[in-house]
Parts: sequence; C-alpha cells; structure tokens
Amino acid sequence: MTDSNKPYWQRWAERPRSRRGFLVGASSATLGAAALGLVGCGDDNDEKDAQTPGGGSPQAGGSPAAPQIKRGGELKVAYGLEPSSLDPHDGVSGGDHYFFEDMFNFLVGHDANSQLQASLSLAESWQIPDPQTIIFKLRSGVSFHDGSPFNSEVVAWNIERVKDPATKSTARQSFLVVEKVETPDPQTARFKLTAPAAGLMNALGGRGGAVLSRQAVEKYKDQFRSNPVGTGPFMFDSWASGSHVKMKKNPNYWGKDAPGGALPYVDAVTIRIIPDSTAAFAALQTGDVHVAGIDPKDLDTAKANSQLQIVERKGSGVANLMAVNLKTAAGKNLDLRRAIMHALDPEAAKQAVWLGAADVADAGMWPPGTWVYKTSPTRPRYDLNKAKEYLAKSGFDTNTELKIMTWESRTLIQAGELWQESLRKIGIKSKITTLSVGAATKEFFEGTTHELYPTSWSLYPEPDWIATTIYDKDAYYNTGKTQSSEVQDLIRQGRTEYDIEKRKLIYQKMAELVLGDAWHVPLLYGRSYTGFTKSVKNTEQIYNGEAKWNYRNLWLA
Amino acid sequence: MTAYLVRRGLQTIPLLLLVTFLTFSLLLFLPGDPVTSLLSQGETLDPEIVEAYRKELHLDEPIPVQYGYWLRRAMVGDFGDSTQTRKPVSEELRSRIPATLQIGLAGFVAGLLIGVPAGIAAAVWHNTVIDRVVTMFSVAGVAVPGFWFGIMLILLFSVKLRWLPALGFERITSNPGEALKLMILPVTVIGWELSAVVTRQLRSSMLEVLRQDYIRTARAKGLHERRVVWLHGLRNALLPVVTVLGLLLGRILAGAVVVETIFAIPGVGRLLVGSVRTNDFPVVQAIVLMVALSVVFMNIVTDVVYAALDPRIRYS
Repeated sequence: MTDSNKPYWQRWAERPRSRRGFLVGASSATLGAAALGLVGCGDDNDEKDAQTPGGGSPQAGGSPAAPQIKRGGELKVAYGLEPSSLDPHDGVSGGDHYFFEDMFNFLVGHDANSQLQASLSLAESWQIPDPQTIIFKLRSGVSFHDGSPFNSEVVAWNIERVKDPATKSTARQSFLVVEKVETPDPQTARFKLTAPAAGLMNALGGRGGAVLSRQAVEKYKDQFRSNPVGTGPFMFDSWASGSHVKMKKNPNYWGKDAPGGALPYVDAVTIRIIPDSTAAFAALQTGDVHVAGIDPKDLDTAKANSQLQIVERKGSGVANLMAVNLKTAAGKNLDLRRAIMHALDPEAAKQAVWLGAADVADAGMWPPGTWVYKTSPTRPRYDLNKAKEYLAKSGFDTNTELKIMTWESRTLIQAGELWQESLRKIGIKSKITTLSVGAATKEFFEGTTHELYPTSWSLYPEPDWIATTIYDKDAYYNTGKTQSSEVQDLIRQGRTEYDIEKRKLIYQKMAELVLGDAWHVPLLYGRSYTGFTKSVKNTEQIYNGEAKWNYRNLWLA
Repeated sequence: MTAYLVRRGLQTIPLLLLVTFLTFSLLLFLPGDPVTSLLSQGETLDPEIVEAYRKELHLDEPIPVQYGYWLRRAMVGDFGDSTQTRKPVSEELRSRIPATLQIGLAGFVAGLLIGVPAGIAAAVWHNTVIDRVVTMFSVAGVAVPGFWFGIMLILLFSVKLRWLPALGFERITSNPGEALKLMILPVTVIGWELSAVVTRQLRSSMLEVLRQDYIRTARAKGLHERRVVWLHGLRNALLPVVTVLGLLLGRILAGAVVVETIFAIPGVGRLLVGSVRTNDFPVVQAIVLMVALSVVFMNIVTDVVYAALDPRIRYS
C-alpha cells in the first residue's frame, strides 16, 4: 500500500508530531498524575495540520504546491434518513449526526481517529486534579448563532438539561455521574463527579456534550428540535420534512484553518434526504449532489467514473454481528453457542453480500481505527470441524428449529440467509423472521422466542458505552442479565481508570472474555464509501470520530 | 339528489369511526411500539424515560381508552404529535400534501390523456396492429414494477443523456420551470401505470358498447364515425371507467410510495410507510382518516358523475 493510498487517519497517526504539539502535551501532562491519559488535550496543531489546504485530498497527495482554496458555493449532500431531531440532546437516531454535527460544537471534540483534541473542542484545555473532579478551561470570545455568549453558566445548564428526565436524552445515563458543574468564572467549568468516570470525557464528545444556546432553547422550547442554535461552523437555515435540511455559513465561527483563515469554506450546505441509494448515486453522477454514500453494489461503477472520487473509511462500525438470546434454552448452552459461531463463514458473507466491501472481524466490538482495537487470538473463527465438535458436545437436538430474528436491511437479510445455510451445514435447522429495526430489537432483546439475532452496530468511540449497554449484567442488550464477576470487575475498572493505556488493556481483556462466551460476536467490520464529484476538495476530511460526515473542511473548486 | 347526498354524508361518519378504530387496533397488534421504534440499534433510553414516554402516549392504557383519547382530540382537528419527529401531525401533513397532490394529479391527468385515446383506438381498430401495440403497452404498464421503470428513466434521461434532473421536488407555484422539469420522470411513471388501467378498462368497455344496437343504428342513419365513437360510444363506455377513476383519484392523497422514494419526493406515501415502520400511530391514523375521507368523497362524486353521464340514473 503506497502512502497516498493509506486511509487519512492512518497517515495522520503516522505523521511526525510538531514540537509545539509535543510541548503542549508534555506540559499538560504535569497537571495531575492520575490524569495522565486525558490531560494532554491532544495535539494543538492537529486540526490545523489536518486543514492544510488540500492536505488530505487525493489530488494534492505528494504535490508540493497546494491548490488555492476557493471559498463560497453551496455544497449539496445526499443522505438517506430523515433526522429524528436537530436537537443533539433529545435525538435518537444515529443518522442525526450527519445533520447537527456542523451546527454545534462539543465540550470536547473527537478527531477522525476517535481521539480527543482540544483544537476541536469548546474547552481549550482540561485537567483532572482528582478522579472526581474535571476542570475545563473554556474558549473565550465564542458566541452562539443567536448572539448569546458561550460561557461556563451555559455549560452547567446544558449538563443539567441532559440529566433532566424531561429532556429524554439517550446520553442521560452517562451524565448522571456529574453531581454538579461549578462555575467559578465564565471561562471555567468545574465538574464534580459522584464517582470516577473515565468514560465521561468521551461522552462529552458525543451528542450529550453538544453545547446548545440556552437563550434559544428557552425561546423555542419543544420546537428547538427544528430550530437548532449552536456555536458550530454552520447555522441552521431550514428543514423541509422529507426533503432537505439547509445550513448557512456561520461568519463568526471560531475555528481556523492552517494559515489562520476562517472556516468553513462553503457558504451553505444542503443535505437532501434521498432514501433510495440507487437514486442517490444517480444524483451524484448527474452532479445534482456533490456528496453521497456509495452502496457496495455501485462501487465498481463509481470507481470507473472519472468524474467521481471515492473516499473509503475502514472500521466504520460493525457491519454484522451475531447475538444470542441467553434467555432461551439453546442460548444458555455454551457449547451450542460456540458451535454456531464457528459455523458462520464471514468471508463468504463479505464476498457474496458486501461484495468485498467489509472486513472479516478479527477482534471484538472495537473495530480497526478505534484506540481499543487489538486482534483477538481466541475469538471464535470459521471452522466447521470445531463447529461440529462443539455441536456434538452440546447435546443439542438437531430436530429443534432455531429461530433467527433480523431487521429490514438488504445486507442483514441476505447475510441472515447465508447464516441459515451455514447452520444447515452442521445440521442445525433455522427459520428467519424480519421486522422493522425497532420491532426486531424489542422482540429479540425483551422476548424469549428467538435464539439468534444477526444485526449491525454503530461505531462508538467510548468503550464504556459498549460495556454499559451490552456487557454489563443489567445492560439492555445483555439478554441473559448475567455476567461473570471478572467482566463486571473489568467494567468497573474501565470506568475508574483514567490512564488511557491501562484502559486499553482493560477493554481488550474484556473483549477476550466476552468473545470467549460466544453470545455477542462481531463477524464483519464495516467499510463506508463516500462518493464526491470532482469539484469537491479536502474530501478525506469528511469523516468524524464516529465515521459520520462533517462539512466544515470541504471546499468547491 | 340533495337528500341523497346528505344521507351519504351522514353514512360516512360510522364508516370513518370503524376505519380509524380498525387501523388503531391493527397498529397496536404490530410488533414493537413507538418508544422502542425511536431508537437506532445500539442506542438505549433509561427505563424511567421509556415509562414517561409510554405514559405520555397513553400506551399503558387499554386500547379502547387509547382510541378514546385519540378520537376526542381528532374531533377538534388535533391529531397530536408525531412520535418520531414530535412535530404536530397537522404540520407534517401540511408539508407533505402539496407534493403528493402535485405529482398525483399530474400523473392522473397524464394517465387520462394517454389512456383514453389509447383505449378508444384499441377498441375502434380492434385486432389490428394498433390494438396489439396498445395492449402490449398497457400490459407492460401494469406488469413492469414502478421502481424498476423509475430507475431506468433516471439512468437514461438523467445519467446518460443529461436531459432531466434525476430527482427532487419543487412546488409548481414557487418555480414553475424547475418544477415541470422535475415532474416529467415521476409523472411518466405514475401516468404510464394509470394509463394502462384506463386503457384496459376503456378498451373492453368500448368493445362492448360498439357492438350495441344503438351504435349500429347511429351508423345506419349516416352519422359521422367520429361522432358515433366519441359521443355515443365513449359516453356509454365511460361508466365503468369512471368507477375506477373515482377510486384512483380518491387514493391520490395516499401518495405513490415507490415513486416518492425513488425520486426523493417529500410526499404522504413516504411518510405513511415510514410511520408504519416506526409505529408512529398519530401520523398513520391521520393519514388513514384523510385517505378514507377522500375515498368516500370521491365515491359520492362518482355517483353524481354517473347521473350526469346517464340520465336514466336518478337518486332519491
């Protein structure tokens, strides 16, 4: 793989750090020994490096003369789902990020590599003097799109809003650990925690950490969801239900590019809601839109089209995993679970269903590109002989038919049929039911009628989120509501350990144990492909830490 | 006639109650519920928030009580809020109806403009090449799936020839030129499918009428063939066609799901399907009520048109 062919984040990770960046990291690290992993605030130059004109674009790869940035124009984007809300706190769909990411900033921001970066954050720096206190130094001179000032009072109010059950935020659980936010001065927010919470920093980089204008929330009340006001590079313009969301440039945005020029580059972004992927691809080919996701079935055509450019993002989530219902008799049988997992052939699904555009999972729920990722030597892998051995050991009556539940998605349905065939090879009969995602989730995780559930999972930069929602004995997605004391202990350690290297080891060990239990096993990691017309530049900077899009660094030639 | 119309109007009330109650019950039998349907895979809500949601939507009450809540509000025109977007349902509908009406009515007119002459031609030149070509097109119109035809049109006229925009929607009142360009492909899909139905109906009905004695008499007394066909033939052949057209017109408000999806048209059809999939009861209920009203209304209009076409039909 040549250097220019490597993914952006890989090149980013391999790039030598600037001396200034090193000094910032080193000086920050002295702020508190316990805070070793988090205090560094990342590399102050990272956003600037990343925003070097044309720095990440394929056109400029290796060329010493960077193209002159052109400002202005309207970027047109195609996306398949209607947002559930433009209020980051109360939205519930993962697709919402494609719409609100650029209208808001987060108290702490993630880069494309899911690492926290002060340069992308509303907090200029942070320190952790003791495990139950986090002090954020806030950016000064930042104001919301409605002109109201950004300060520590607003931060404290935002945290209370997420914690308030009336907001109905999916992020609430992660924020309950914040006892109060003290505001000694407008530029300082001191978080007092009820317990050490290492996962909170990453949670503050998610939807719960988005900082909203209090003035606007009080003005629009329930309708803030369709009148969002933040501090981000784009300001909300309009939302036509089922049609599009339009944003216009925030002329006072605080973020700058490398030469100190203002961001964003384009004057407006219109995200058109185009539910059919073939139609969205046609719109990209005709130039009706500048940006669209590429379905694997259209990938060859897209690559052959000289008018298009494609950016690939590996590890964009878990494309397919097999969950077992531990409440069922079959699910409780460990040997049977192992037999099933060894019988599934992810390579076949990769080729037949994803047409090569996925990667066979070699670790747990943290795919390549996340800081926890590490290949697992002990995870169940495709091996029919082992599958048959475990099946024989399990004592499972092969006259019993296993029930598979999945939801409406082309890849999941086709993969489900393939898994059915895989199980048949070791003599297990099965039947598939397909429902909408909400109904399938409820039926499988709350019910006792289905044993297997092939599904996909979004990318979450904070490993504690996976531990809390899936592995913990009380977790919603833990069908058995049981967990070994060893894993429970690791979950506790992961929450209280702030040192990033130690945390990494904790979650890697956790992944090993859970994979060995064979009840929630990733089979394929996703690769997402974004197509652009030739006129779009800085294309590789479209992905954020959750492998979703933001538009502030793109410009139109 | 007036008494008849009043009676028909009153008869619709129990019908609408029945339709809405059945829809309501069916929705509650669907797997999942509005609260779990809110979440993407991997997201969770605190149990206490889920409970609060369920209480707010009255999901913790028996079905007849839930229906009662809905009915009481619906009587005064308040259809509640969408559980997905939490916007008022009336607002959601207001933003979707113009697109559906614009595309649906244009498709309907296109269907008539193609279907009526084609149906007549096929009947008049029965068993000729014209008849075979028309029949072939009308069979294809019914048989070819709209999603395939729509994609083919986009690939040919947008991607290959670059004559027309691939997708999108513009209100005819705000930008007529752009709106017309955007309408050509979706209206072709709807119009072709509709014309196929009209053509087949009209062809068989015309064939029957053209064999009638009064047509022979008209020809025998030396009337011009055009007059025989268009005046004596068509008027009598239209009755069964009007029945079908009335039904089709009444259903326009339900939207054309496939066409709206392929051409990214923000219409009622897409909203309805999306709402069923996410158990968004208030939205589904409002759309079903609206479509039921529209179908009932069009039935009454059809009855009136019958009387106008055939003076022998009288209502009392």
